[in-house]
Amino acid sequence: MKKIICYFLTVSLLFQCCTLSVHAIESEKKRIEIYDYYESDNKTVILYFQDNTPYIEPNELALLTDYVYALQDGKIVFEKKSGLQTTKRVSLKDGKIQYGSYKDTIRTIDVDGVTYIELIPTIDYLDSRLKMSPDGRLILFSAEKTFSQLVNQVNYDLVHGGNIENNANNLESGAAWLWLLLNGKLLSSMPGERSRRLAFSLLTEEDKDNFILESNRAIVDYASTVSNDVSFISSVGEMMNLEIFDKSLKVFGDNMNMVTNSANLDYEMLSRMANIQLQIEQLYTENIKNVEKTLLNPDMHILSKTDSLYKDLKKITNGYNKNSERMYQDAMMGLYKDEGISFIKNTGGDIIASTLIKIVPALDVGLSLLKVYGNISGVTDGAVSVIEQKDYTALQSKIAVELQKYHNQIKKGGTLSEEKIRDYVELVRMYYHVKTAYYHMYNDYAPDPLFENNYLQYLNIEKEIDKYGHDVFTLDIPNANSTDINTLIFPKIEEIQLTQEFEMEDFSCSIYLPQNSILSDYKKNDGSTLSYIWNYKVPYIDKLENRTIQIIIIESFQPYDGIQRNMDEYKDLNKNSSNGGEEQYLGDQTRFIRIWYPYELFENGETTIATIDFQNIETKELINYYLYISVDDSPENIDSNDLLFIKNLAFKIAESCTML
Amino acid sequence: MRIKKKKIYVILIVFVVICIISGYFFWSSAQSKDLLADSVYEQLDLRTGEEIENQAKEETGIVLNDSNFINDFQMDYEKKVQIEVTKYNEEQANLSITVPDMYSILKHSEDEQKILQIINSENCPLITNKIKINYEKKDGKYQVKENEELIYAIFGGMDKYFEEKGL
Repeated sequence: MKKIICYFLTVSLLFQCCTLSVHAIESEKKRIEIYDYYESDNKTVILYFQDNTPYIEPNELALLTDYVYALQDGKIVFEKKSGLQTTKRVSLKDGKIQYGSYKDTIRTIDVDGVTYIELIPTIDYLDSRLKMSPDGRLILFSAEKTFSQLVNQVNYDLVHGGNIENNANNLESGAAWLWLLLNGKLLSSMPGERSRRLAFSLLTEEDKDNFILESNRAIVDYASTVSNDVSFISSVGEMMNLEIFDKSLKVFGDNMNMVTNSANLDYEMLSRMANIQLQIEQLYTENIKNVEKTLLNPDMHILSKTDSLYKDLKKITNGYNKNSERMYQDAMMGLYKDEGISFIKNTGGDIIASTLIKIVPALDVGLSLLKVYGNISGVTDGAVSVIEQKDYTALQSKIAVELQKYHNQIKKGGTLSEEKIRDYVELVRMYYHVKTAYYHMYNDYAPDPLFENNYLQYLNIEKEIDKYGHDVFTLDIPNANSTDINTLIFPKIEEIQLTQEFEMEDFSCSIYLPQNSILSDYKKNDGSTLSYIWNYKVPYIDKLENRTIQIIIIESFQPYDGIQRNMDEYKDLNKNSSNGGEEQYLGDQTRFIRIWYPYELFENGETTIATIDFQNIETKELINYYLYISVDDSPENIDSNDLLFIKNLAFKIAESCTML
Repeated sequence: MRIKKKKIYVILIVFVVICIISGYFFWSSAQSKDLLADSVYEQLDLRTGEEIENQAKEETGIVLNDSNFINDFQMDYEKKVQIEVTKYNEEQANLSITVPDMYSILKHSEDEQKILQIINSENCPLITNKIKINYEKKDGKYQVKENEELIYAIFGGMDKYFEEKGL
């Protein structure tokens, strides 16, 4: 019996050992290719798999997600930066990852003295997600601009530069906030007659490139919606020489045939008709959605239903069909009626062209009606535009005070819910949009390059928010649309065999690139120019202040046989001779391209490191590259972060290479 | 004698009735004034400040270098605002509004902490403005027609300070 028990135990133990060894075999280091959706670029990362669970080195994860990584008091800390400013902090300690109120358990493993952390869900805490594309590629969604960066940008702009009134940006923050508070209160006292103009200003957008074309199209559309009466077209023939305004004339002719009688026509009425027509045409769906989610949303506490601006916005947005991006005809007629223009079939005969010319002599010299009357804002004098500035200021101030409430909430709880982030982003868009609309109005009144530049600058901020959309900003919440490991496949790519060893000498790094290799994403223009741009996000940027990064790419015509051979010559080259790339020859055997960049080029933590132009180099001649990277500083100032940076940069460049 | 007593009773009853009626009108008038004043507080968001705990700095989360100034200001300022309805009819009311003298305070300092410090001090300078407002009464609720004069009175001369700053 004892023998049987011993035998059984032995078999069991052996079985256990075998199982353990199988598990050990399941541990594997893989080089994985990931497609970065927002950068439209392939990235490679090294993952360590244990029991099918992917692990990653913290610094590698930081580079992948554009975070900065540090070890602080036994904690792994990931920080999101905006320039030099930290905007978000995530920590990992004792197997727990934490971001505000969000927490998860994370496994860590040590392999050959290197710490690896579980890739998922850690990556979700760093504003990034992994998904599979329909064609089987592993896709990285890593926010180009994160929610924490947006919040910090807005927080700065609220009292330092975002205000319409520039003088308010120069007040101390206490007075600046009080100025916003006071002006925000004035919003409800805005006279009704001005709110209609503000409403249209907020809802429209001028597409500068297509403005004339769009206006003509609008006029044709409008003619077909308002009237089927084409009798006026014949009289247009009298003025075919006035080709600029033929279409606009046709439309207004159609409309005027419907006005009670021609005696009612005057300059004033034509002007109002042209304004309404242009305003309707330039209604912009994104602005309409934005208004509905902010100014017309009672939960935002910006306008009340009794405010005249609320009523005007509601009237226009209710009459707008978002699918066709046009006003409903009834709503359009309502707007004309509000302006005292009624369309009743005219029984007194056609309005002929000469009638129009009599009313508007300018038409006789070839100006179009739109040129004569086209004034989207309806602002007619300087005094009015100054008064209207108050309305824009009041609205923007009220929004600023509401945004500040979100900031208080962020400070209280550290994080916002998904829904709150969406609301916040809408409100931010409206905050900047009010300024865009203001400069648009002002530039229409008094065209000035300064106003136009400001208009375009803030329009770009809006477009940036529209481009990123809410989904990018909600990546801030780790459990929103989180990465599902069960759906992922990690395609292994062939390891690049670096033909020579990686060396660290002093505070520089040198690395041989693969033999017979070429930079993978080179651009070939007309078959003669090859160039490649390395876009590399620089970590530890604060450590590199006042230092110089030197990158030397050496290309030899024959197999390289010794690292030290020409190195001293390279090092001694005059660094000030070039700031953007230089090609030089060293004897008959070797030539090199040297790129030297000062710190300033690395502002915002991201820049193009090097543009290497292989002009005049025949691809087939490239045999070996030798890459040398260094940071100019005395050795005592160099720390492990610097070395890590150089190493990462070198590998980044090396990864860009594939075998010929 | 009995007739005399009856007269006294009648006079007493009439007196009591007059007292009750005038008391009612007085109470009703005071209540209307309070309701009207309350409407001004409510419409101008003068009772919205909330206590925000100054929590210990979170080790993780969004890093935001910002104060709670607006909230703190509203909370402290609202405590000092006194709105009294001195006279009213069906459409108009006269208000006496006593508030911190923001013109003087801002002249002294634009700094957040100093502003709060002065408002909270016993020696906070106050200013009283007397203005007329128009209002409507719908479904037992007062709807005050906001205008710049009312808002400037509530904010104790801030407008004057900013005007001098070219704003």
